Amino acid sequence: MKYIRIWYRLALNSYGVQAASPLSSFGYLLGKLVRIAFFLIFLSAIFKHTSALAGYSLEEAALFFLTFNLVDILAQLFFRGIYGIRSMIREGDFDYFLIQPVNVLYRVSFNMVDFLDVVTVAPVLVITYYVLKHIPGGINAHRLILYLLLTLNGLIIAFAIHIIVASFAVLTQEMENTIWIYRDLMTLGRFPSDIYDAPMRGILTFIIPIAVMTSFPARAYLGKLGQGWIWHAFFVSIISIVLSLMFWKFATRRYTSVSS
Amino acid sequence: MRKYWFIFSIYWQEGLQQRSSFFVDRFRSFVVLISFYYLWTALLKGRSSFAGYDHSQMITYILGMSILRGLVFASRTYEIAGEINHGRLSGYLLKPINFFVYTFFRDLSEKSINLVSAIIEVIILSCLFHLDIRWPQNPATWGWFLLAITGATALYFLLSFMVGCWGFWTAESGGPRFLFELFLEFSAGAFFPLDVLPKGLQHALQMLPSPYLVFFPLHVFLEKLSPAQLVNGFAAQLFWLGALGAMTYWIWQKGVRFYGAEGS
Amino acid sequence: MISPIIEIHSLSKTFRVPQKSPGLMGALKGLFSRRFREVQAVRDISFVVEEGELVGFLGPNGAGKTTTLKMLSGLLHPSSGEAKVLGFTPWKRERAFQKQFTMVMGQRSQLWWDLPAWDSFLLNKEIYEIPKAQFEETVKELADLLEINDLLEVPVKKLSLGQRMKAELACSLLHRPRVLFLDEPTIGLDVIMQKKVRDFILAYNKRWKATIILTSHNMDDVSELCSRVLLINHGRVLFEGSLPELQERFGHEKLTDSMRQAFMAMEEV
Repeated sequence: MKYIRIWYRLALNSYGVQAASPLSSFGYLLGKLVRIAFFLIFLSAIFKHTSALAGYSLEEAALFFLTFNLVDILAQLFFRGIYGIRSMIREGDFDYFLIQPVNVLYRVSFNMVDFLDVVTVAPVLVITYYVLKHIPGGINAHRLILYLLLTLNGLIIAFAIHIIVASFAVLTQEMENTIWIYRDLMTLGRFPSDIYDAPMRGILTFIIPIAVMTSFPARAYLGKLGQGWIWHAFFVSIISIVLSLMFWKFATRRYTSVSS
Repeated sequence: MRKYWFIFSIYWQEGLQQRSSFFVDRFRSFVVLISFYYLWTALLKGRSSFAGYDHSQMITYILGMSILRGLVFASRTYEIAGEINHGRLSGYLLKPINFFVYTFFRDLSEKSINLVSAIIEVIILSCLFHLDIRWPQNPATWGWFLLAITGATALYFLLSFMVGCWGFWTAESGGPRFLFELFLEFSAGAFFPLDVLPKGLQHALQMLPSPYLVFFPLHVFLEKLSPAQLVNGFAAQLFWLGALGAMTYWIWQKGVRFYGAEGS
Repeated sequence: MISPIIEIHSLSKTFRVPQKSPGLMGALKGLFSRRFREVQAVRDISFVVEEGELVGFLGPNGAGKTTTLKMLSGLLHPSSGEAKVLGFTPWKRERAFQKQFTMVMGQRSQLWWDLPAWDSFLLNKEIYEIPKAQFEETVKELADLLEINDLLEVPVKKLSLGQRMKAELACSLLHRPRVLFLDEPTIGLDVIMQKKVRDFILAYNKRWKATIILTSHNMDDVSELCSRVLLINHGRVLFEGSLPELQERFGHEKLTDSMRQAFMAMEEV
């Protein structure tokens, strides 16, 4: 209960901060929407020259891209604060978090709730629905549930990755852009993992499970994911969360705050 | 002049000092390179050409795109708005240093680190995947290419500097900057060759300065331009350099006056 | 005999600081290999503080005062040694412990910059689980004492440094902590504001019998507030005792002169 009230306060405060610079917020919002729009334009343009991308039709390829966006935006919505962890450490806010009686990870993650992501999620969901309707076979309820489960699964893996990145920031205090490694690797998930050759796919499925996060849900919906892989997906998320939390604990123990 | 080279060297050092962030930045561009390599390879599978590009041309475009992003887009002009907002600009204005030239050299430093790294990445990728690069047939092309990228670099610098001046009138330049960068990258052909797009869209984009940042120089390199198109392209670059140069100068003057009036 | 509120025993902290060689070549080399230097910030510090005491740590920059406080608040794990605050080991960061103390760091703020202080207060109310009635009562008391009643609805960025400090103090005391760690609370403030902050700290100490450790390199802070002082330099306690004892040890009529003498003596150590 307390944690919900704290979240509420943090969200209100974040909104207040964003509302304080409406021009900037609007710019970011437009930018995010434009980025998605551009990519969809790019995809449609490509399909004027070809009928298939790695065996997928335009709608199917779009589904992969939209799933990527869904996981990406939802991850940002929930774990936004972690992007700012380095400045929190540098400005001393993190020090305050450590001495206050709230779970530090929770505090860091939700310190910034980006309402722009709420706004961005809506069109993505709408377009996803549209695309799902246009995939031959109509919307299959059973497959949809699987899709949602695997997307949620992807979100959990995303959380684990964010925690690991945050832990690095706490430990080294020097990793300016570590979170961006994750964001950039995530962009590999914009396309169906079929476009990658076997070694690359292997990396994306077993080592840095981007494919598990973004491609698996779409493939499951299209009926192209075997049972074994589904179990693999859940296994990855459980392992990653457990390991990441252990690493976080280690990092906060070894924290050396910025000297005054 | 010496002081500007010194600035160049200081920023080089600073860039390297932040070694983690440097590696991370380069990792980022490497990942982008890889993802596009795979995409286009998948698209070209079983075909001899796509949208007028054969395999080696497309590969070359992507590699060139990566290198040019390091050269043209790498910049620290995004800091300008912040410097204005936080009053740090005063420091520069009071010293016997030309802010414009100063930021240019600071950028040069940033660009050269990134360029060297981009070239290394491209070499690594080419060797790893045994890539078939389409080198220019005509030796003169190198000269034209060099000219084109010089124009492109200057063009981007002006555009970015101009957007940085936004900081004179508002403290909220983060969002618009983000939008600007995004739009520029897309319309410059820095994600994919612009001729993949439908003709109507292409023509619309050609009216902006952005295609001359990446798309035009790469077409020069790929020798896809007729002599007439070559001339037109350079004429457009020159036109934009002139127009943007004048606009930037004018905005800068207005901005500095405004800045002085407000106090920091 | 009531056990002391704060007890530390042979507390030490060593940091590893990366080294950079100057020049371009140094920067290039730095990409691939790193050299580290060990800095002993705190060396074998031991002392005890009783409830309700106002103790000062005095010493130049880098003396180890802040590092000690950071260990006492649980922010840092010591390299060796023990400490107990209110019966808890600070670096275990137990919730029950965290609800009973507060730390104010002079140059860093926990207030949200773009928002009125009031919004930060409400957040702390939830974090420290302060019941509504108690919260309102405490805010009123603190706001009156600090004279910030009109400032609570103003965005923090629009407040002057002194006003911000007052709001900061209020925010950090909402949960009526028994122990206060104040790290350079008067830094950057003008003389009048320094006095006001000092008066407040004294009033708070008297009213709530809170135990306070204050660090400063401003001698007036210590001379006006502290019953006991620890002179710290190079991570070691060089003198511990009451202010009269300090005067006696270093001679001089005026307390501040004694302190100045002590400082100079410390430099030679």
